[in-house]
Amino acid sequence: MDIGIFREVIQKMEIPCLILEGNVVRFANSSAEDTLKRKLLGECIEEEILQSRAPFLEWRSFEVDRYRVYLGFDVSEVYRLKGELEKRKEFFATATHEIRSATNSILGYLALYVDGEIKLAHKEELAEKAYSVALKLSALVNDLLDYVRIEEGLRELKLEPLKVNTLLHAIVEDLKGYAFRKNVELNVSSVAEHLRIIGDKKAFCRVMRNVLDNAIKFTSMKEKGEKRVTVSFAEDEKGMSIRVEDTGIGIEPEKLSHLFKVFSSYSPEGTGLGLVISKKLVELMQGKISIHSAGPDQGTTVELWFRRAEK
Amino acid sequence: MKKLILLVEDNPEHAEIVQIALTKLADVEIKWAKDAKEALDLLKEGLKPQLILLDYRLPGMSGKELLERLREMEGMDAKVIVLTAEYISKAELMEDGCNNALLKPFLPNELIAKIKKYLR
Ligand SMILES: Nc1ncnc2c1ncn2[C@@H]1O[C@H](COP(=O)(O)OP(=O)(O)OP(=O)(O)O)[C@@H](O)[C@H]1O
Ligand SMILES: [Mg+2]
Repeated sequence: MDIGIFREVIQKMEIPCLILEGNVVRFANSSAEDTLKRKLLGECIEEEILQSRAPFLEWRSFEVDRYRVYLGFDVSEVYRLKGELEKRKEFFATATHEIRSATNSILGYLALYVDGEIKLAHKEELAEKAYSVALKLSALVNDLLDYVRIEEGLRELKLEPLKVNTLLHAIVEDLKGYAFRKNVELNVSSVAEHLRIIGDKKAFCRVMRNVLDNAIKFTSMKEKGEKRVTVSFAEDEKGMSIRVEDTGIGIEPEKLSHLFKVFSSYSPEGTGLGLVISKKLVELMQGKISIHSAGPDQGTTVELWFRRAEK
Repeated sequence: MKKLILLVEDNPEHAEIVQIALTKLADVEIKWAKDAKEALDLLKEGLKPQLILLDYRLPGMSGKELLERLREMEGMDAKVIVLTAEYISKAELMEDGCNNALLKPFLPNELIAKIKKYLR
């Protein structure tokens, strides 16, 4: 058979293509040369080489006469989807684990509470514990649904000018009691009355609440020393940054890079959805969020930045 | 003589529930280890439980790994009941070599019924 006509067709194809006779390359189109980064004509080439040179390329071949034609299909999308699926499976496994765990606590405490054979000095504590786990479970389910909705792109934000001053003071007012119970001092420096950022009201409040909740929670866990959370602001030309600084338990350097992943919690109470959700929301508002710590017991600082609304 | 049960469980709420539930059984003593390492240390020190209640998702060494270690350990004749909230079936757990398994959420009385079978 004459490979002339074959060549012409193959040259025009956008996917990598090789024609081998025995072990020798008789023809390679430019796409194949690009992919394998060399001139192939006349070379001996093993199937293995084809495989190893391009991990996202899957070679299919068929025989025509004494020739073997290789076509390279780009399967990077398949790999991406496989990774995506793997991530989802993991998310599902952890989510069900967390829900089952909390349910086990609620069921267990309540079953013991109503069990007449169990004699305890302060039996009502069992019901109180069940109640507090139930509250956590309800927050967890909300977080899970929120996360999934954001991931699926279903959470639509309404971006509008927001008065930082008013919103933050309301949030701080809400958290004061919590901070007080946890023995943490909460300071907020004053923010310019007029200052307005671009954001979605609910999302902004959610983010600030998560960040402040973390700051208070992880500061109260410190054994000794000052327990203080400070919120401060800085304006720049395009926006404003909000700094939430605490004197809490800090973060080990090797953990820092994992904190914005799902279920990254290193605390027995949390599940590790707070920061992931916050980051996604901040990005949807075209802002930025980052977390810094010099190490264990060195405190933590969360830096947020939001776009400013035009006056 | 008191029968000894070793509970390996990182979730303090679950551990508390099991401990309270087991007060319903006479002559049972329970020892709580928060992770696999603590459990192994106790066993190395000579603790001889009749029964081990083992959570599967533990920080550090997993419950599954600990189960494998237990099975290789000389003179280890404790029965093992796995308690887990993982997305897994009882059949799969049995294949891993435990004697019995209970999926969370469970009722304390279900656990007690299972435990009774293994305490002579
Ligand atoms: N201010 C802080 N100080 C010390 N560690 C922090 C601070 N903020 C976050 N972290 C670390 O980052 C982890 C992830 O935070 P995130 O808010 O996502 O989860 P969480 O607070 O543990 O649980 P959740 O918010 O879902 O209830 C925390 O478990 C903690 O280890
Ligand atoms: Mg949090």
